[in-house]
Order: sequence, then structure tokens, then C-alpha cells
Amino acid sequence: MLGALAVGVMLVAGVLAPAVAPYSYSTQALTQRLQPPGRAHWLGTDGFGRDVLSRVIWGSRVSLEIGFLATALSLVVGSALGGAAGYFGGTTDHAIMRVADAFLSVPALFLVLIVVALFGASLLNTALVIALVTWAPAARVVRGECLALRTREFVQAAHALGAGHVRILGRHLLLNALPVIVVQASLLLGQTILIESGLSYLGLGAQPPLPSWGNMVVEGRQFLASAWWIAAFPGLAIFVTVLGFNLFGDGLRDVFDPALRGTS
Amino acid sequence: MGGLRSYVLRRLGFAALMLVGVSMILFAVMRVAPGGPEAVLVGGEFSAEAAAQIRQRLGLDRPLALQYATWAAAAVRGDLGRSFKTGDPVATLIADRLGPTLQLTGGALLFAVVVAVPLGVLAAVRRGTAWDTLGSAVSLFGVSFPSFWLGIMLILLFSEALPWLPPSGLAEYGREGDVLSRVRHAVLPTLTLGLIQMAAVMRFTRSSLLEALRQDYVRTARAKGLADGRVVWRHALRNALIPVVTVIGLSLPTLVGGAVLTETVFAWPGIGRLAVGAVFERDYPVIMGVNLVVAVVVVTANLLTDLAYTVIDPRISYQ
Repeated sequence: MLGALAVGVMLVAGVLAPAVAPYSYSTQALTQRLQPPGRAHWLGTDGFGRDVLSRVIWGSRVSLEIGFLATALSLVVGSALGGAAGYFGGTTDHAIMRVADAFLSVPALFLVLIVVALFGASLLNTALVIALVTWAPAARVVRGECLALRTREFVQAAHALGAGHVRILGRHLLLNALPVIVVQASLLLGQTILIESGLSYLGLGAQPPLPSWGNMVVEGRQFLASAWWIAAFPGLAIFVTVLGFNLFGDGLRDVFDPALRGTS
Repeated sequence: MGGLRSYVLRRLGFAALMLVGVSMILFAVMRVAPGGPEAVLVGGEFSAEAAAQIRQRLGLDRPLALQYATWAAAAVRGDLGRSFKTGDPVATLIADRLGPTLQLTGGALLFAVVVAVPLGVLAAVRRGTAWDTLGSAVSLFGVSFPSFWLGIMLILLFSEALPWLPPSGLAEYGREGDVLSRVRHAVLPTLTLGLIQMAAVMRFTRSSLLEALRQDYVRTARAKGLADGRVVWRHALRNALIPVVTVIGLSLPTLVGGAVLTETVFAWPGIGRLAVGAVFERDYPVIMGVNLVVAVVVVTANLLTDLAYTVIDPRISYQ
């Protein structure tokens, strides 16, 4: 539940950024440079005198937007392919899973880095590429679930009633696999946010002055000796958010499947 | 043994196929991308003629298939072309950087295994105690840390606040041969990468040991009066190690990805930083070369992982 709390706080902060951020994310106040955390600026100010707390709040938008978009894309592809593999079995299964294996053995960040650097770091581009490297584990999990479900009586009954493949797969298998998919979604969100932050650390995320957690950490790096707070807090925000999604995913798994509690 | 040999050959065949596929896709992706190396090489304004001249000099004006065939034919002979930017042979550039990267990733993996396996065993054996909680916390934190930030925080702590360790580089300038200097510089990057890698290994050790401890042979071993430690370490752990070895194999791509960020944070002269620089400068031959080498290393490591199973569990044999 701690996870849900962390996730909730970050979501609210991101959605309500214009209302809750105490200052603008881009207004520079050079007389207020490098102020340590204090009453006026809770998390201090950066090298341009901008309020770190406001920038962390605004930065959550980019991370969460890309995180949600990439996760949604990844889940759609992963569920469709994983579901088809588990349901049809045989050659289809074999072919899909070999492709998934190939994707699993490619260094993800490397691939994302190349594509984003060459094609530009737009929201859609970045989300698409992140989805491209994260669908395989989701497909694996959904496949396993569908393999187990397809021999169940209600699926055979649907067959006997003359339901088509799409209907059985969509209504009976994937709907019943939904708990697993939701758990995957939560864990995937954490992962995609980590990848996004890594990209923006390398300079391939939101472009200044728009803040993203990754590029704030880079900017803070040069002031590490004199103003640790500039790099520390945005990174802490990434950590708390990702931890939140991971905790939330683990919690959901326990709720959906009490038998698994404490085993994974 | 004949079965094993044909298995290895088949796997190598599949690996070669994958390398060709990956390199073809990458080759195509780079050529389809908007903008080209000429923009970076010239910089600022330039005429269409100047661009065409550069493209011709670099061989980019020829048909794509021909370009790929030329590259692949040379690559098979170990010639990865020359960097667009510096003109140095790509193979040399990579060879110079491969050592530091292997040192970093190898050290991180070693650290991860040495710490995570005992911790995973403790968490499984003392299930539900403080050890278990500690183990879960470690693995949860490990998968939630952005590696670059963890690295910077370690620098803040051990280089800035406490002046114990150097924050960047492979060694002090001109002292690359000095082992002590090398080790001191390696501590923080290795720790950064290793802490993150540790999480998965520890999680799997715990869950697969829990599974093994429920098996009949463990009960038998206990029943015949073997000491607890012997049962856990010799009987159960050996069987529990198979999934752990799998996870180590599977985590290699993440390890390489993590190395890209870690090398950037610590100014570590490895192939990760080489690749990042090449990507920004559209140095196609270097990007291709680095990816080929990384793919070969990952594929080889995966094969070695599978072969390691036969050592851990003689019942597994490959046909």
C-alpha cells in the first residue's frame, strides 16, 4: 500500500503540476542561485536559480507520460502475441517465442539509444522504441497464463458453442489473464520510467528548459561538490516512483494470487 | 559427446543467423534515419554538393544492399571499417575499449553473485525473518534504482563528502599500469553496476532454493541426519543453481545496457561510451562495430550459460 501511496502522490503531482508547483519551472532568478533547501525553496534552487521542487513536479509529467504510453503499447503487443502463442500453440507458439527470445537477448538500452538518437526523441518515438524492447517479457507471462487457461472447461465450452478464435482469445483467455496483465503493467511502468530516465540522462529526453528527471540529474552533476540537492532530488523522485510501481505490482500479485504470496 | 557437439554447432548456426539479422536491421535503420553523417562532419551550413561529395567519399551513395554486402564481407574477415570521424580502424577503437568494459561488467557480475547468492540462501533458509526482509528490500531497491543516479550519489558520498575514492576515469593519468590505482578507480563503478545486477540474482536464488528445499531428497537428506548446512549448501543449492545460472545469462543484456550509463557517469573509457559518442556523431561504422561485438559477446555468453547447466546438473544433456 506504500507503493500505491507513492504512485498516487507522483500521479497527482504530475497531473496537477501547474497548480501544485510553487514556482515556474523555467523562471530564472540568478540572485537566488544554488540556494540550499530551506523555507522559501523546500528542495533548494539550481544553477539558474530555478526552484528544484517545482522542476521535480513538472519533470514527473514527461516521465509518466512516456511511461504510460510505452507500457500501454508494450502490453498490447505483448498480450496479443503472448495470447496467440499460448492459445494456438505449436508452430505459431514456437515462432513467436523465438522472436521474443531474440528480443530478450538484445541489450535494450543500446537499441533504444540508437533509434532515439537517429530518429529524434519525440514522445511517440521514445515510447514506441521502449515498447519494442519491453514487450517480450510481457508476452512470455501472458503466454504462460493462456497455456494454462486454454484447456479449461469454459474454453472448451466456448469452442463447442462455435465461438471464433478472436472471441475465445479476447473474451475468455485474455480477460481471465487480466490480473496477470495488470501486475505486469505495474512492473513495466517502473521499468519504462527507468529506461526513459536513462535516455534523458544521456541527453535524449525532454529538451531544456523543459525539465525531466534525467536531465535534471545531469545538470546537477556539475554542482555536485557545492549543491548536492540539484542532482539528489530528481533522482530520488525516479527511485520513489519506480519503487512505488514495483511495490504496487507485488502487492497486486498478492491480492490476485494469494497462493504465490512470498514466493517470488 | 557427439550429441553435445552437434548441439553446439546448431546453436552456433542459429547465433550466426541472428547476428546477420540484427546487423541487417541495424544497417537499414541507420540509413533510413533522417539526417546523415555529413551534417555532423561539416557542421553548420553546407551546400548540397558538399554533402553529396562527402556521401560519395564515405560510400553512402551506393545501393544499400551493396553497402551492406561490402561491410559484411569485410566484417567476416575482422575488418570493421574505419571511423567516419577520426579515420581510425573501428576494430582498433573497439579493442582499446573492450578491456575496461569487460573488467567493469565482469567485476559487477562477480560482486553481484558473491553477495546475492549467500543473501538469497539466507533469505530462503531463514524465511520470514529479518534476513528475508533484508533480502526482499535489497532486491526491490536494486530493480528500482536509476543506475546513473546511484553512481552519482556514490560519488557524492565517497568522493565529495568523504575523499576516499576517485570519482572518474580508469586510473590517474599515466598510471594505467598501476594496479592499486586501477582498483581504487574501479570500486565505485563496479559497485554501481553490481548493486543493480544483484537484485535479480538474489530474487532467483531465494525462490528457486525455496522450491528445492521442498523436494523429497532434501527431506531424505535431513532424515538421515545430515547437518542443516550440508543439506542446504550441497544438496539443495546445487539444484537451485540452475535457474540462477539462467538469470545470470539473461541479465547480460541488461548488464551491457547498464554499462553504457555507468561508463558515462564515471567517464570510464569503455565501449559503452564509445557507442554513445558514435551515435551522436552518426559514426555508422563505429555503431555497427560496437553492436556486432556486443552481440557476439552476449550470444557467446548465452551459449556458455547453457553449457554450464551440464556441469551443474549432469542429468541435463543436449541432443
